[in-house]
Amino acid sequence: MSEKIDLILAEALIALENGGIEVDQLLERYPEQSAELSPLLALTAAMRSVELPSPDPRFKAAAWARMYNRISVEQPLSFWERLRRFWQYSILQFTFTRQPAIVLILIAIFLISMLGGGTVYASGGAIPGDFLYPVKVAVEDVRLAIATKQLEGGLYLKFAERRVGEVLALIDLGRYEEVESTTLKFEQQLALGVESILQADQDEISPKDAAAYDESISEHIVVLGSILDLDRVPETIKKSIRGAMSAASASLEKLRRSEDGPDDNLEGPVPLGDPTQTPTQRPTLAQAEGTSSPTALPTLIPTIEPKSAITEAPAPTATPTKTVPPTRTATPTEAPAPTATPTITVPPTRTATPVDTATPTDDGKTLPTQASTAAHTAVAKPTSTPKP
Amino acid sequence: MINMEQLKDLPDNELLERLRLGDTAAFGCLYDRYFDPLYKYIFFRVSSKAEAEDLTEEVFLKTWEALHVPRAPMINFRAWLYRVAHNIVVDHYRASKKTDPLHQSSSFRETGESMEKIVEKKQTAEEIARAVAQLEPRFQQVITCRFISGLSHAETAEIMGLNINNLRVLQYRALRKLNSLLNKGDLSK
Repeated sequence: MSEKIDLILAEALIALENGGIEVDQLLERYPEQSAELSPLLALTAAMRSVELPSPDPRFKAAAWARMYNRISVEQPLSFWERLRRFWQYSILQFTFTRQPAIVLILIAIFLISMLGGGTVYASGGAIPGDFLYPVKVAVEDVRLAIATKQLEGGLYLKFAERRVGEVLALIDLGRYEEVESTTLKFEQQLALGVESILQADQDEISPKDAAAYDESISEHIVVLGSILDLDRVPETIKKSIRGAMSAASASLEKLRRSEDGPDDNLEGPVPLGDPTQTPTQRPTLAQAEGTSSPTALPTLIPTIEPKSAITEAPAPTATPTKTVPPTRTATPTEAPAPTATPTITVPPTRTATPVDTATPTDDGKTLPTQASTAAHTAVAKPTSTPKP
Repeated sequence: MINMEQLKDLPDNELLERLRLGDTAAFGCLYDRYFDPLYKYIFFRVSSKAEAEDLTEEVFLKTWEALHVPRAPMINFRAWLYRVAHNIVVDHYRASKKTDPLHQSSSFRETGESMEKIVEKKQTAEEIARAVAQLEPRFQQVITCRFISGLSHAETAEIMGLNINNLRVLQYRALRKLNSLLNKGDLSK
């Protein structure tokens, strides 16, 4: 009987999980086993009713911020790496049709080679959602792939600037659905650009270049800020814009700190990964945990002209002076409870985060990993990572 | 091009495809989707909020490390994720030499019910948690996966590396043992 009862129990559990039947009705189906089944089914019902606590949303967001910092260092993949992975995973496994974007890029590259530079030139003005936009992105990836380390940072910043132009164009055309991904790309490229500049030999960056980078990023902040004045722009889009502005401010601050000399406080602010909050309210991880003071971010507002004909946007006035935006206050008790939608990324910030990257080994095991911050230490122990 | 809302609605395998091509936002979606259920799974096993938080974070670090490098496609990401979580919990106990996690009475969530009901529920939850902690590891795993995390027979079998028939037998034995422990009422061992 015991050989059969496990099967009967499993069937009964499935029936209960699917709903539409009560325990009593179920037991009537199995009169011989009902005495044994009854307490077991009652026990499973009791276990299913156990209410477990949810994680602290602040912890969840902070953990994502730590993870994002780590991820962003490794992103994005170069064009060739993406192509290689596509080949390895998609073509060889006959999942060609599941990668329309990549297929489009490959077709575009083929067309470029056949038609010469005309397509590339034509793609220059493409914006996200346009047919030729993948060509534009592919060309950028190629340029990054072949750029030297010294040129890489400048290229990233140049492409980040293009993203700002694209955001303006998208808003001008009312194509809001592409704005969020474009601002995310902007944040990513800006962060990578600044990271690359900081890693390059500082002697090879002339003061003129440094000033140009500073001015360029400051300009992005102002241009993006002009979008916030537009009444017709939905609030969700404005949130993305504020996120991008916050990321630009963080990058600018990072750049300026490096210009001022080595940073003694390597455990500087880590953004709390709550993309649903506006940047000005976005507390740092340290702030969320009540251990850090806020950082005032002096932002240079340069003289610029808006790059797009957004009619509703008032042209920024020429103010060639340094202004200090409102200081972010550290009030840990007011740290917003994030509604954990961490897929809208936070700007990567260099922190004193010792990270020992675990490397999965051939037998599916991984080496120990540590990811800790000043205020929180992730437990890291040798762990088996299964091979599915 | 796909926006964030559309991205959130994609199934796991689509997100994994995008992740392989370097789309960080896809990983963010997976994180968002699985952080809470994994936390609860781990919490039930370790009984400490702080430890559950740390271990859940570790699960995602391991997942990132495993996923962002080229690897064979995954058939069931959710099952794989729980398996990583299980291994991390096992290693955690191995490292800390704990064998009998005592569940904290204050840890189970209080709802808007009457105090009497809350106390009753808490007692039940704690009794169950203590009894589960006394089971052998494989019994603990099958009980947690099936009745705490609500995973299917097939997913639990995949996580535990068993075929479905063996899983059914294991489930029956685990429940019978748990029932016997609870009926004895002596969970202080």
